[in-house]
Amino acid sequence: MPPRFKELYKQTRSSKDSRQNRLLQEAQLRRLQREQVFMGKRLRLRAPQDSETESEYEFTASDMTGIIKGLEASCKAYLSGKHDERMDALQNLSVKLEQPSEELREFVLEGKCIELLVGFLTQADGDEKLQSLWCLTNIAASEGRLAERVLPATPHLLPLLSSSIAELTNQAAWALGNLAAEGEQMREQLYALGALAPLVSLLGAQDPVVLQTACFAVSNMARKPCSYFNRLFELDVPQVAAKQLKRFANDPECVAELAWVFAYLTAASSAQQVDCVLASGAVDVLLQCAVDAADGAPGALLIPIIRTLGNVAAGTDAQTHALVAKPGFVPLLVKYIESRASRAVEKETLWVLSSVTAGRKEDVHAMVNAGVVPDLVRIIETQDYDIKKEAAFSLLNIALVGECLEDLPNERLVREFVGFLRSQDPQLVRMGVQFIALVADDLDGGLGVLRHVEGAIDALENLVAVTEDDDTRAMVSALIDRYYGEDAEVAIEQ
Amino acid sequence: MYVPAKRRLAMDDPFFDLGNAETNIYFHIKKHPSPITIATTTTNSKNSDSDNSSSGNTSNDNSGQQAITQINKVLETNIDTQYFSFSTRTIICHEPPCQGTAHPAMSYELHYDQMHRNNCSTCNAIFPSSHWLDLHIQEYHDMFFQARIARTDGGLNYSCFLPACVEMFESAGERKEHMIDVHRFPLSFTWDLVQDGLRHAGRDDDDDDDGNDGDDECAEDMDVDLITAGFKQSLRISAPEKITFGRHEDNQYQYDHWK
Repeated sequence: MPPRFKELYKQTRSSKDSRQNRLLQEAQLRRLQREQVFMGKRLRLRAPQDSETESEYEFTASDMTGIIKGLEASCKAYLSGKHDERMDALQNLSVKLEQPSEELREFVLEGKCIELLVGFLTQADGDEKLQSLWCLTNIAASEGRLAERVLPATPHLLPLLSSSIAELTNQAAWALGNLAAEGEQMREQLYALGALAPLVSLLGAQDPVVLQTACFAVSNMARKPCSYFNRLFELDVPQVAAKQLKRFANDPECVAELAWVFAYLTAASSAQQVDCVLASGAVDVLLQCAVDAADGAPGALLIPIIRTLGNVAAGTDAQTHALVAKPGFVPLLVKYIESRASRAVEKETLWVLSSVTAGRKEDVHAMVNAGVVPDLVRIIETQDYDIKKEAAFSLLNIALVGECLEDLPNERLVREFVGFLRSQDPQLVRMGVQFIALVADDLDGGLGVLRHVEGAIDALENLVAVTEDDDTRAMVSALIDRYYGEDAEVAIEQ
Repeated sequence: MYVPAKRRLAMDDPFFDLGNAETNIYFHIKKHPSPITIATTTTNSKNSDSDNSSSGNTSNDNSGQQAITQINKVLETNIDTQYFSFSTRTIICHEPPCQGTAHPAMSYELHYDQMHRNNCSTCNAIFPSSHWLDLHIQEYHDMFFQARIARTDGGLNYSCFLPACVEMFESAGERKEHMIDVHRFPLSFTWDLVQDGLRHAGRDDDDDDDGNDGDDECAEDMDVDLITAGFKQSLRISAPEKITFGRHEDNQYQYDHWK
């Protein structure tokens, strides 16, 4: 039977193939998003209205070659070519780069894509420069091998950082920020190419959009490990950023981005560096902004502030104390611990609290007086593993200082700590043992509560049989003997 | 032991994954910046930015909707449930003798190691680690061991309960003293753990029979028959009384082709 007319020119795809294709693309989309979500790169997505063909992210190989050929043709015909065609080609490319297909990947890795885009950067007019930068940004936001291809374009990106056109500066900084998020090697190479100083000077920008992107780029450059970390302090980044914080205190997005800069500056930094940040006055402004934040503020705007506070609190006791002394700090912690909106906020605030409760006694008193213990007990009894563990740190720290001991012999609470004994996490096991020892040794009725918890003594004995840590074993043995009282001693003499 | 200490964490510590993910998701979904046209100059940029930020959001909601829903769908199914819920999931254990008890996923592997991995296939006893299982098999299911302890000249046969310690003792009683004195085992430890494994009925608080466990199986007599009888009892397997080879006339399985 002769083929039907349609089948002569149109490639028919069976429903199975379509489905497979769609699943493949969904998987690609998922994979890509994962890289951007966890590595902190930022794609610039184009709103679907701007490009008519993208209602579904489905396209065929022939579409791709068409775009590529169009781009090459328009570059060759630059002088006589049509502006609109080139704009179309570039815009199309930037969309396709959000989730590049195999052909597009090859075009970027092996083909002339980067050269073409750089050509646009150096010769074209402003509109086309922007689109080309947009494409480079999206390539830099992809995974390792693709992002590396953008690195040679850096010398062309740097002059654009001091352009008079805000949009170009913004996009160039965005592309560099994505590159810096790629990894240590990339950051070192960017530094060697002289990217740090212009980005830092961009931190003083007047335009809030440019400021936010500059913060993104400088934060990523400040990621550790990096050999040039001290340079950030030499370039007065804390002071510049603090000044900007004061100026833009009413813009929560700007505050959040600036807070990220401070979070990276203080993360596992030396005491001197943290003191420098404290001295710049930034922490006071950040604290004030957090206090002023609306109740329904999205977690993403609070997280960088909490991260910065946590980094400072995990420093020296003096630094922790300086934080606790600031007005609004203690109530803020209590408020965020009760935060039901964002799990991340709750979790990181508990981390801050655990650092505070490991500090000076007066600081621990301050937290207890603010009423944090009932919340901690509630969290340990009801929440899931990761948050439970964080709260347990704080409660144990408070108990070991001697506070709130009367709250401890609570059967539900003890049951949770007995659960810790069965955990795979050695730190958690030690915490469980310490807590149970505290309850059984020092408190009246503590042993009685322990007897009521099902499986407690079995868990303790198991620990003795299996643990390789002598200290733990000694402690648990003493507990077991005390549990069984004097009868044990009598029996052994028989 | 546990001492309160501050924990300085690096920014790429897995602890911060949840917060980092939330921030980045927020950026990609909420902040969907619309292109500012090149035509505006820097002097106008501040004004147009404020215009954009007020009108831009509304247009973003409409135009970005499709991209947002798609990303949302992908991230919800992939990131939230699969990646982070491991720490919140519970696993239900169906291996005997657990009757469908639930365990948090984070401690399930340990539960499995302690309750189901090191079981004696001969007598179905459960041991908390492979070292205990080895000791059990050696002391209760090994006929050479029984022969060694049956000899009156003794010799060091009983090894310490801890894998790291290589001391050997002549009797279970000596070993028990070693465990208490040197390794700080509790007096009321279940000393017949080696024999019976973990018990599930729960312990009675006044179970103080900690006396003479390992000695029960020592055969004093050199007589082979007694030793053999002892083997059978300790091995707890049944073997046929008589094993014969060769064709039997009364064998019910007749091979036709032999005839």
